[in-house]
Amino acid sequence: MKLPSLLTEGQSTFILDGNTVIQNHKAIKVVIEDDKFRLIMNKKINQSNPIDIVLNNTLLKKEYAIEFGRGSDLRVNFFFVIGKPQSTQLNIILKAEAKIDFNLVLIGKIKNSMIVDRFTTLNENASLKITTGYLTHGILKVNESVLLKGSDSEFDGENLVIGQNNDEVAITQNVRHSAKRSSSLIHNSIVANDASKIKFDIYGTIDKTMEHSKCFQHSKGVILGEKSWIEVDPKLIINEYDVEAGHGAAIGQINQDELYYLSSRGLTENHAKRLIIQGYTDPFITKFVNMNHQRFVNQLIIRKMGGR
Amino acid sequence: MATLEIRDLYVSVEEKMILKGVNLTVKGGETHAIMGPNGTGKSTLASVVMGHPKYKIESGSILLNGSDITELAVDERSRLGLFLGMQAPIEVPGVTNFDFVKTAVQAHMPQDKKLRIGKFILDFEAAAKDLQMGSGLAHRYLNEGFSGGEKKRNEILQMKLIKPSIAFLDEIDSGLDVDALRVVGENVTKMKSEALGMVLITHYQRLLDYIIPDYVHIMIKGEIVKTGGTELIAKIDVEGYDWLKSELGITELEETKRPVSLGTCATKVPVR
Repeated sequence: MKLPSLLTEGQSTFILDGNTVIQNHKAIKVVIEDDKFRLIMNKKINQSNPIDIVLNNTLLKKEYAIEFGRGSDLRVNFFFVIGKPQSTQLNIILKAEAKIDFNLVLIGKIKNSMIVDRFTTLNENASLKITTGYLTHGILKVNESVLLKGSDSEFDGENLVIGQNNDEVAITQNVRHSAKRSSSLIHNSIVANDASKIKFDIYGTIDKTMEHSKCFQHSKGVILGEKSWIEVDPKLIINEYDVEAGHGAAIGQINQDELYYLSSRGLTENHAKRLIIQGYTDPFITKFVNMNHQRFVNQLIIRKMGGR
Repeated sequence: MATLEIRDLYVSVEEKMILKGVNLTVKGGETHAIMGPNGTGKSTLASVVMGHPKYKIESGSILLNGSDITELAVDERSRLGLFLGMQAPIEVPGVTNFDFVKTAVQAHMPQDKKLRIGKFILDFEAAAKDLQMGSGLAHRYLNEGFSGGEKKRNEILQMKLIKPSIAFLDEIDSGLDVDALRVVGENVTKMKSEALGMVLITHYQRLLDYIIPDYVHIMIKGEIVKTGGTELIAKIDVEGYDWLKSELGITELEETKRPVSLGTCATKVPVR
């Protein structure tokens, strides 16, 4: 896929096309192995601005790994352009004490169907705030596994999915607490237009003896199309007593109370509905500090909303 | 100067009659207070005037500046100058307070005029300061995570910026502590002018100590049964509503009256 200029005009953007590094970044060390591409970022790098990464034309059976060294404290914007292959793997590894703010956007047209396997591992005291926007077109299946391996590790995952036309998105999220005092929070925002179908299976598991861990899942979804549907199935598997856990999901059509409230301030029904939907999408857009990125993501969302 | 006239209004919800012939006229510059026991239809009246789709107008009319607005949508009524400060303001996650109020103010401007954003920011900040609201207010999501008092103050903030001509404030005092009540009371009092007619719905005298009404109406069982001045407030505060019920012969077991339309020239006959 030809990369949009809004993504590539930054001179410091790291661009990886298939197995070729098109543009390097001083903070990223690239290690190429037979079936693996490793992008390594370490504490030593003095990087106050976010690191922008574009991954285009991913290769079949290739694993793309992003590794953050011990004590690294970084912000990353990752644009994942889905290419031709039918499956790909993305791993994120945080070494101990790493503190990472990560924005991930999946874009592109999927030809037939696509499977993305995501593995995230957090070591001791590591903290990952990751926001993912699933803005692809077509049939997408995502298997996401998060392993809280180190004690006091924290995972905060926000996901935005927008379905349009006949899109089918099935996401399985598996969060496993295998360390004491680990915490996870998942927040899914889902918008289903037209005849799109979006399904979430969410599993939160706290292993035995992993006391003082916290595991929470929240999902909210709005069904806009007459033929669209959203299904969310949250599950908690708790094998330890001294923990906190909970899940909740609110799926439905536009909330009539919200609509009334906004209308009572002079907004037309269409305008009020637009504002309510923006309530799902704006928090994602504003995660991007760079105005070009904001514009790019906003355009993607407008397109996914069919120009609405 | 705006005028709202509610004429012989009968309103039902889910087949149950709530308002049974309400008459009320509010003019710009006037402040009315509606008091009454729980469940007598005070909030219903405010919601019906605003156009809440849940309520069915069985008969009667609501006129704003002489035009019947009963067929108008909620947003149209708002743009004509009506405002309802809600008892339980709704939370809208993801929509920032600033974006919402800006959009609302823009919606009330003529279509050929654009909001001057710089001036609006100054107005927003000034209103927030007057109401002693926190500095992060603009970027917080609309009413989400707001305390009860913050929500009520946020309603007044919207009212200050939208500048309606007729405003209903439905139990704007609930959830407010003594200091917040004073702040809200002072702000609402400052807004009093010939350009604004107000209807305060409340249970307590404490709000009316700060916002002095010109008229006090007592509503019982869906009807305004007595209208007077501020002397009524003190009497209710001390004696409650039982004296009025006895005076008017209202019993708790009185059955609901329902109107029926007998045609275009029909008179209303209450039936069961």
